Amino acid sequence: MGSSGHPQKSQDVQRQLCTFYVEKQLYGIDVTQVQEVVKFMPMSRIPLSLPYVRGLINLRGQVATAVGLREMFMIPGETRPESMNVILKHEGALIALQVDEIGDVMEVDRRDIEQIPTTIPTSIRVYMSGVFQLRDSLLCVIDLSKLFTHVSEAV
Amino acid sequence: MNRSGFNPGALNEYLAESQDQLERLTLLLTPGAGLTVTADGINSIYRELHTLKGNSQLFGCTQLASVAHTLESSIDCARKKGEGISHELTDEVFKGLGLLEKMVKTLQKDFNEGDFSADITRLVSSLSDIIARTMNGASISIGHDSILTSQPRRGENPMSTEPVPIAPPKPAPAPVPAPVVATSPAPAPAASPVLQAVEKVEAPLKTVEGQTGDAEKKSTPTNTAAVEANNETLRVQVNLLDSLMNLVGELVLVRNQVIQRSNSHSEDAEFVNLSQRLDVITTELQNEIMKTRMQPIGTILTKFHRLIRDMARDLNKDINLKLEGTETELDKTLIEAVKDPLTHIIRNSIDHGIESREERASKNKAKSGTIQIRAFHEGGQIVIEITDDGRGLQRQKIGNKAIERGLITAEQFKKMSDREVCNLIFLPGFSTAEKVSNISGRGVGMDVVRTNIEKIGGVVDITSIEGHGSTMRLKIPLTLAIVPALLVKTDGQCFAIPQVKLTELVRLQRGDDHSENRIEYLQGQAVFRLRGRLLPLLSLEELLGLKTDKSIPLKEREDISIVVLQADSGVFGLIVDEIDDSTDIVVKSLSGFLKNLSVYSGATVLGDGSVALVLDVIGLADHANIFKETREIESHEMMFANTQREEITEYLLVDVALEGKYCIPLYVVNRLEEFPTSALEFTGDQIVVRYRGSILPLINVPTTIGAASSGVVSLAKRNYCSVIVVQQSDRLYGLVVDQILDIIGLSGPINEQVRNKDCLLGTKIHGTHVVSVIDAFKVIDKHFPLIQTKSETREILSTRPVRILYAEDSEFFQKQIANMLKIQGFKIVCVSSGEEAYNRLMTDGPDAFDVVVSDLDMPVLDGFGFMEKLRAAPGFKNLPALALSSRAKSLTEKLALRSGFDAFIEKSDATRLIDSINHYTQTAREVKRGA
Repeated sequence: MGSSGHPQKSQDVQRQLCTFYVEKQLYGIDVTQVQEVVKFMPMSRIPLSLPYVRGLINLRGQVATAVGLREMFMIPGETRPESMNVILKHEGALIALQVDEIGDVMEVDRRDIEQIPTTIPTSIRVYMSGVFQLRDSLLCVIDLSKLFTHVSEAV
Repeated sequence: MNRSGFNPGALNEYLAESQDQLERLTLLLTPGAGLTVTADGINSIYRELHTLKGNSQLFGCTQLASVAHTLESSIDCARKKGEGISHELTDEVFKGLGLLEKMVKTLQKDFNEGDFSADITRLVSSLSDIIARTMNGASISIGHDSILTSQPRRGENPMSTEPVPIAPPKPAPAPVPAPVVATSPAPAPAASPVLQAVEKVEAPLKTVEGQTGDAEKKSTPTNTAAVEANNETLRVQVNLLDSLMNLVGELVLVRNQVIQRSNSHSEDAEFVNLSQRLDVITTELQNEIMKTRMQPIGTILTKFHRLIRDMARDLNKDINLKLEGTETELDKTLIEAVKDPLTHIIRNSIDHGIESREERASKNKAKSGTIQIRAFHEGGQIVIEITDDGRGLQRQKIGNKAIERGLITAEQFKKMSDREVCNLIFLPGFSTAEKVSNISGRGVGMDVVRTNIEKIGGVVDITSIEGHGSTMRLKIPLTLAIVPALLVKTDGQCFAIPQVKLTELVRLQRGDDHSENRIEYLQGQAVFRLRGRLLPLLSLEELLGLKTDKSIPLKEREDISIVVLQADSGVFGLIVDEIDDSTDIVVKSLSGFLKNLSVYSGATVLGDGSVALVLDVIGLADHANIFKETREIESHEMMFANTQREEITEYLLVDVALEGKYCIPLYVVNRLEEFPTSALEFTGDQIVVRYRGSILPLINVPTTIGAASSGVVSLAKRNYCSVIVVQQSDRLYGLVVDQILDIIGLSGPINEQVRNKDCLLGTKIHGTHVVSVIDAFKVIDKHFPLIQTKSETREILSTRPVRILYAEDSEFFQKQIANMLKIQGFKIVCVSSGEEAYNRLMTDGPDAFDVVVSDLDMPVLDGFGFMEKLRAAPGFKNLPALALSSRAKSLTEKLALRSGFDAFIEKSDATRLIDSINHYTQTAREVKRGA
């Protein structure tokens, strides 16, 4: 991708991110990786599971595992009772990332991505692929493959 | 021919069809024990082979085609001769089918045919040998399509598409001229009747034109009979069925939700009506879809005919296979899953189980061994039993091997029961075959069998009688997709437990304080006496870490629901808040990062739309064991120790608020109870409590055996007091202790040297501690002197005291039981072995004793042997005899009664012993009087 001379160059460098907020910080995931976004749904807790596994959601008959990004990134603060769900599919299983609020789908230029400053705690940094400077805020891009491998290593 | 012209779909279809044909052929060739293939059967075999050949040619699989052709030709010879298929020929044909299967498998891998020419040459030569022999002297002029005739045509065939049988040079009778096939436009393959020949040539031609589909359909028109039989079926991809199944699963869930909604909206008649119809249709649909996935287990069982035949021949054994219940249906995925384990078990039976011909002859067994496979439904599950009448598992051999491999020690082996020894074969790296054959004996296998079966939620069990054979029993669920489950609630959350693992449900109600159903505590762990067996209890709430300060302690609950579950290691009770309902669930697997949670096997969507976790029973048990690993080891040691010759006596470890450790022999204990102090009442200065409809006097053990009266104070302070109920003669007494701690097993006699208090029997060593053994009867005696009870018993009994001969090798029991019986006014003579008891009876005569009480496990002559010997002696046929043993009643009672005992009594059941002595002596006396 991104090779010069490609007819669809502009689309190549453009990247669409589905964005959302956790504790007022903006995060983004590539739209192609997001199946859908759903409002808060009742959950069943999973006793003995890791702290960031919040429970199981019935998503139209499919069972999705709800993962709290706040707990995962170890962001202090209260979990909102009515979290929104960003539904992803990973290795055939449905994962619902629970976030505070859903933002817009944003179009960014691939080349504008910057490294995450090293001052950011490693607990968060390991899940990030980079950051985009927006006019009025910063957008952290979550690297889902890293996120999932970290999760499976932790297990 | 190049297969690249075909789309992979068509090729796959051809390969699948070929496999089916091979299966049908195997079936046709094995019409059942003792039967020969009928003329019809031979015709069908011929037709199948022919179709296979045609298809193979069409797809350019020349090697396959030539093997099929060779087989077809030899079958045709047999057919023409009209004498059926000889044994020899069948063997060869089976070999050929094996080769074909191998080829099909190779093709399935990468559509590459591979090189089997060596195998083909071998097959062709041996087949032609057989045919030459059977045709010896007979006219073979009609054998126009025998392979013999095909040979000379080899080079002449102008069409490369035609399969050319690779026939080796052979001492064949003079080639028979080919029949007239001149009507055929192309030189016809010699192996076919005219009509077929024409079409066969047509087919490849069409293929060349690219009309694959057409050619396929037309390639087998001669085979109308077979086609007709199959025209009602349609080949469907399994994953299509899988997704259908999933969708139906979803539909079932939606149906459940709709019904739940209609129940709450019953005013809308139309909606209720519609939802009812939806319900009916969904159920029907579910059943039908389930059926599509169901296959008779015969599809894999019949394949074993060939396996057994081939292996038996290689090993020079005679083996019959008997199949029963081949029509039993189960889910396709499960059939696939049991195939390998089954193959393994059968290989083992053939190789290790069934003896060689000579060995069988020397053992007076039928010349040919039998392997029987039975499949049947049992309790919503499928049971597959594989029985052989071979040599069975040899205890010593298995033991030696296991010791050699370092799996167990020689010490352990001595103490193991036969069943435990049998189960050693499931350990990884175990094999007893002295020689490693290519069939089995590599030491992998039985452990794999077990893991595979357990993976699909099944159970494997083995029973074996040395010298007579062994039986493997596989228990597997019907289907994996929809599982009947029990819904339970804990902490407001719903969990599902698969019914398969469920044994029973127990509900304890807290009614009166002398209610019989109570949870007891051993070392802080909850246990429950379930019909005389100690059931360890686990609280789901605690296991899942849901316990909070708000949770009501078990003791204070109005009722307790226990789900009794069967785990690998044994049965345990799971305490839940509520037992909800049983329902069919569709288990969905959990996402990757929940996989480590072994306590769950999946999740499911319930009727109300909520998600429930499915509990994994074995995982739960494992999870609980983390906390009590040490206890596990201890109890294992106890288990091993129990089977030792030296008998272990169990003691109840109690806290009596005194320095040091104290215990009470368990066999004197009738029950363990806990009473709230509010229930205690006084009569004079005696504390009593109402218990099972009568008054139970309570004796404070600490004050009785200790100097300080601290026990009384602590009793008033507590909400509950722990009471050990002891029966002396026909009266119950309650011994109050501070706390009941544990049951410990100790061996050897009680040291009577250190008896600083008169209520102690002596001391015992438990681990690093000295434990004082409390004499419960003495304690009672202190408060309720013996004279009183003695006089009572005298009244009950007749004037002459009952004379008892008691055989017991354990000094401890001899003394304890004898004392107890003496207190009852019996006259007792003790001996320490069956031999001694027998000799004593022989010298003293049948009238010297009124009743014989005997232990079962004794040195020299055990209880069974003693009784058999005694019953055979003149005059002792009617002497009452009671077996008194610490063995489990359920297992031993029958054996004891068979050997001639009148009753079996557990050592801990002193009451029944006394009752039985009275009962049997009285009856015996009445009989005598009557006579």
